[in-house]
Amino acid sequence: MEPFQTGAFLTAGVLIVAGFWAIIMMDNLLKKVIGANFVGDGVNLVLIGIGYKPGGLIPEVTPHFHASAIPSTFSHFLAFNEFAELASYPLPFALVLTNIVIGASTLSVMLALSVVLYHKYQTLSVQKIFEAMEED
Amino acid sequence: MLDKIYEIFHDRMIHKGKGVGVGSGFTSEFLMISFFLIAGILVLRTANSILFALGSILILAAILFTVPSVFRVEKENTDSINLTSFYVAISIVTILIVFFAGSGVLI
Amino acid sequence: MFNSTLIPLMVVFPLIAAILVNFLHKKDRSVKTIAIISSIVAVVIPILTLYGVHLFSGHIRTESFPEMSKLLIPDVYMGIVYAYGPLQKILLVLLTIMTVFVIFLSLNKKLISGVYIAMIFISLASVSAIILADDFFNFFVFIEVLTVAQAALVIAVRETKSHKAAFKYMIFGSISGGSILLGIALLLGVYGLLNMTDLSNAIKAGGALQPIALTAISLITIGWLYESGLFPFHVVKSNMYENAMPEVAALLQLQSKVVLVAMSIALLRIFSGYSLLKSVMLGFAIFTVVVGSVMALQQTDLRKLLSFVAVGQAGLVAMGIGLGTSFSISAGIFHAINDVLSMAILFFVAGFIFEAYKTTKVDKIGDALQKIPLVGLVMFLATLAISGVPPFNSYQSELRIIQSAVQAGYAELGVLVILLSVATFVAIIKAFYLIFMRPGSTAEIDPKFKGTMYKTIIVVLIAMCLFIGLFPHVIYDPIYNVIVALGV
Repeated sequence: MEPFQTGAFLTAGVLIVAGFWAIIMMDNLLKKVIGANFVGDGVNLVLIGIGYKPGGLIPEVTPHFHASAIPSTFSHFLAFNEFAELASYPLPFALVLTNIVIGASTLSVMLALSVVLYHKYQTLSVQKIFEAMEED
Repeated sequence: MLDKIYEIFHDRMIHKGKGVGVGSGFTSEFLMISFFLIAGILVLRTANSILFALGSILILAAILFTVPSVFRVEKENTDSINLTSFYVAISIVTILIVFFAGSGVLI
Repeated sequence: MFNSTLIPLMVVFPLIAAILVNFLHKKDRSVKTIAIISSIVAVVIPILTLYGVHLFSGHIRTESFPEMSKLLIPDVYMGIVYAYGPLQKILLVLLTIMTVFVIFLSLNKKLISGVYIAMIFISLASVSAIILADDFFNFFVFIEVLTVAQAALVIAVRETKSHKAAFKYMIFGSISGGSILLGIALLLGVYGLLNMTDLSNAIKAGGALQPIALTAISLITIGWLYESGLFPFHVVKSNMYENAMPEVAALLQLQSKVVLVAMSIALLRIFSGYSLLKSVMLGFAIFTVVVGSVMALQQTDLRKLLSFVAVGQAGLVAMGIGLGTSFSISAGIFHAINDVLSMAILFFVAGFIFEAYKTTKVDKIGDALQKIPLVGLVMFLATLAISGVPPFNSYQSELRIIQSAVQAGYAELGVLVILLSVATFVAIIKAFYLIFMRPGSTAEIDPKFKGTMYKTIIVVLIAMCLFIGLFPHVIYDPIYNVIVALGV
């Protein structure tokens, strides 16, 4: 494993554990939401770490390879074998992009709900807000 | 002991609709007791047959001490987010331990 | 013309309908027209589509160059794949028909707007994609979309209780979503694949599971527990059902049971050789069954009572799947279908009572049988149906679950299933007695409310229950054949 990957996985581990800790243990609505966001970020970092290759080509950006290319006509294109040796793994980047979009939408819904709950109860403490639920 | 149990149920369930409330309280208590018995028997039966005989008596004795267990179940299943978080944490740990220990990675 | 190229339309069409009604927000007449037309078209699409596999962008199965890519199998799918077979057809037809009913019932409500109907369509599209997807990441994406759409449907009730329920749902949803995606990422790291069929083959070829793969299974199992509303998350789910409008609660319990079935099959397919997974599923299922029915017996609000019954029945479905033989898995799926139907009747009855009396507290309403005899009769029949009384559908599936439990060597679980149906019967018949037969009502019935649509739909549904109960093989045999063919 590359040093970058080790670092990325360790950071991701810290992020995910901190996120889970915040969701489960912390008593503040916003801290729970931030924790949820941490988990998403950590998972994204894991995905990026999987696709990493030092000095690798980025398949989405550089058209180094064409399936039907003949090296003589397209001298700047690589043959498939060569390309596959050099390129970084493209799939995780696509997954991360999708997950960022999903994360943003869930985050916005959760934040909107926190605003509504704060206006109703004038507190961010989960303990107090959800205690009031038992009574009504 | 049994006469006391009826009193307990009567006191606790009276606001949930008179006789029907006590009836449903008894039904759920019966379900809980049978669940403990069934779960205990199932675990012991798959484990060992000598344990089975002793264990089922022990379970019966243990159950009689927990009666009525329904109200405890009700207390643990409220809408509070903290209790749910606690059980979620417990379940995550249980699942991890079961999968790792069961596959012989940990032990 | 009608071939398997229609497969992606089952997801795309509801999405287009959702976008349309969203744009027409506040224009009630056009929203209604579009909602009715598109929900009916959504039923027609899965009926007309032929079985098959849809490869997105036409990427066919190709060689994987094992020496270069280090994949364990010689050929892989290169794109997203949707598979459509008999099981998917049954689930999709059920899903779309119920969505039509819910949309019909929702159209006359005051809180209805384009966005509300759009959320129903988005949830329909995501559940369809979850049923069809053979790609793990696509599966995850639509699970997340479904979570947001369901939360939005509950938020639309605009009460503080429902806001709190939705917030809880979202917070725990982020735990589950994070777990599932991390599990997928770890599987991608170990095996380099996302397609479920390929992943299953690669895991079989790879021999014993590594610790990383074990972590992945644990994480995905946590996600599975949340999506199906099993033990630690049962309170969250039942809270959602309770605080949604009752007819939407019928839709929510349908969706979570369908997701439970789809996700269990996906898990069992991918980790088919791993028996511990089934034991863990079974353990959590048993817990949910007991806790769900014990909690249902304690409730005094019809909606809350039905929510816990729905959760307990989901546990029963998971129990069938967790037993792990072909017979029990197909019995579990069959029970999911039956239970969704009878549970929907009960939720619609709750919706009717909520509209007529403006409350669902059982101790406030009484004597309703003289005012709404048809609803009372149907609720009584639905109670019989859900507790597994012979002419109705749940009898067929509960009998099969008990048989399979005995065959698998867990006769005790058969006893537990019988006890569960007794408890379910007691819980609902208590509410039935208090609402319909007890003299002395403190709540007054709204004389203007007719509820013809509610009455029609519950009669149609009870007829469907009776039909499946009398001819179970129409539904059960295709399911059994599919499960045997999958070999899980």
